[in-house]
Amino acid sequence: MIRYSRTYDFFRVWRRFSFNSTESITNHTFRTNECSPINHKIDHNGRFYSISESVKKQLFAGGGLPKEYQSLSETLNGLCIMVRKPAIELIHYLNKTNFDAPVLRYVLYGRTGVGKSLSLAHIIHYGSCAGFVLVHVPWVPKWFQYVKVATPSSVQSNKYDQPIEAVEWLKHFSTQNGPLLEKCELKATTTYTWSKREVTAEGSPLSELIDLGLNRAKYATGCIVALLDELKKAATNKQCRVLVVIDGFNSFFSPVSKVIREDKSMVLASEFLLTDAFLSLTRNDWNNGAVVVSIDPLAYPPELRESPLPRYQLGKTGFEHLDPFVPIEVQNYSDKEFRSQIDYYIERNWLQQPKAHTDNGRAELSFTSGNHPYSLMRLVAPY
Amino acid sequence: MSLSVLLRTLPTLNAINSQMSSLSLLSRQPYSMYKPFVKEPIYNIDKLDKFIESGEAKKCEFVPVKAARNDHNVSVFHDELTNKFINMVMEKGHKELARNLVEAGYMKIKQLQLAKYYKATTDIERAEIELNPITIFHKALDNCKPILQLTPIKRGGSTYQVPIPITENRARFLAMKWIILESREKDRKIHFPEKFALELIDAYNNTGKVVKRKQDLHKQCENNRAYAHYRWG
Repeated sequence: MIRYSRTYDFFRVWRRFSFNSTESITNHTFRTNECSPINHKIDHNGRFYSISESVKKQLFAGGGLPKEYQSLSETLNGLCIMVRKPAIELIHYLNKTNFDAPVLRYVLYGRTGVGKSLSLAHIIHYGSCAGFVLVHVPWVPKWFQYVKVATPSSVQSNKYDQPIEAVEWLKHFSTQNGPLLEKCELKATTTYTWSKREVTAEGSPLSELIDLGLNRAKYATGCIVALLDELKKAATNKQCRVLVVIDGFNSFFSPVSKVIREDKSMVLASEFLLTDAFLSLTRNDWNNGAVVVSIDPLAYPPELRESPLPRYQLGKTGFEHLDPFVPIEVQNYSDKEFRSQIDYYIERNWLQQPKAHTDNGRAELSFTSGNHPYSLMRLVAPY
Repeated sequence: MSLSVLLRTLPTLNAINSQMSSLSLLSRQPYSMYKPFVKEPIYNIDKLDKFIESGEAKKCEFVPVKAARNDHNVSVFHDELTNKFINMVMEKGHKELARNLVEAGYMKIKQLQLAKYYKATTDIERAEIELNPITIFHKALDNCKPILQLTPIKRGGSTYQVPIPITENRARFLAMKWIILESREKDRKIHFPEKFALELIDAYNNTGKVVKRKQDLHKQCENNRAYAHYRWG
């Protein structure tokens, strides 16, 4: 005699997720000693590798790690990133690329919180190890949604500049690539005239161009345009290899902006000079480099977040701009990845409840978070 | 015998509401949903296992059981005292907000304790640091519970503050109330969870303002011990 009751329903749900997991947790290999991302293969899938403090400072000082993940890594006494399938796939492609052919565009896409930004962080570390010049934009919407000052451009009169953001980005670029740029000895190929007195002469090193942008915020955006142009030429002339990594790329094609003119009309992303510069870098009219971008629903206005798929998130213009590209989907944790994530939390003393360490506890966490990485992080945080 | 098999063979747990619809309108307790003989449900899986293994479940097979409340939970993170505390933090029914605040406090505790943990160099030092926020909360609450309280009693035209023993429920209530009041007394730039975490860690170590408040109350009771006999007669 089984009648309907709330409690019965409750236990039925409980049974469903508590007695299904038959695989016992004996796998303690959630870490890998292979700290160079160049060698990461499918064997390392689901394992954590650690990034040293100095590398972290060099690569992610100006952004690149999600804020919550960064504070968690500080609490857990060291930055570790899980080697996941999208990053392995990308590293495999980059290792095998023929760099004489036009650049390939790789697009990471997936729901919010599945780990696109961390996969990009992994790729940045790879690029720095493999000797690429990194052109990294930590979060594009920062330039269009939270702009501090937008001024008419000093280079093109119908465009807009973001001087503060531009200086920030130049600083980020120079900390990431400082030593490498000196080694490559890249030179300016044309003369850039900023004003009557300020001129970057032909043949002067690119660091001079960066310094000028850092000191004169008014010309910072112009400097970025020139710098990216020079990098493109240098890459094509085989002077250096360039890896372009852009997080939240769809923000360049957003139909809505928060920057507003005096007549209350919006200044769209396409009206900024920085957009032109980075869109020119993501065209495949150059070689000896690679372009990795991520598409995130969060980079789009709230009313346009129904689907994380590239065609929806980029719109027609964006899709045609990137086409042809290699789409790579970032998904929720697989069983193996989930297990190693929990093992990592336990080893670092973050998951404190002894009940949650058991098979049933893990099954419950897997069920309630739906194996979604960000949800799991939030779920585990208080306990 | 596994729990799932037992649950299937046990009609009581499945037929909890069997007699609820037949409750008469002429019940003597107009504000209670249930007759006095209806049992409280057991929602904790471990307790339920024990209940079944001890054979008591067999006796209660045909006794009606109350429906589980919506805050009864079998989650591995569920803690009754925490639940109680969340309800006390809650204002105007904003339970989700209250829960978020308390959970943020727990996270803060873990952050603070882990910082100490990774700073410590020897294993002995590390073993002494408690990291589990729920354990910290329970011990802190125990440390804040008073064992006496004062109550005004009128004798011969004047009112005396008379020390009387305190029930377990009242002691828990006072401890929780003091912790909340102390956590709310802060600078505007500090948020509730942060102050709450600091307050709990202090109370866990038997220091801090809440423990002081308890000791002050005890001291006052001690001073008024001469009036203790007014409790009777």
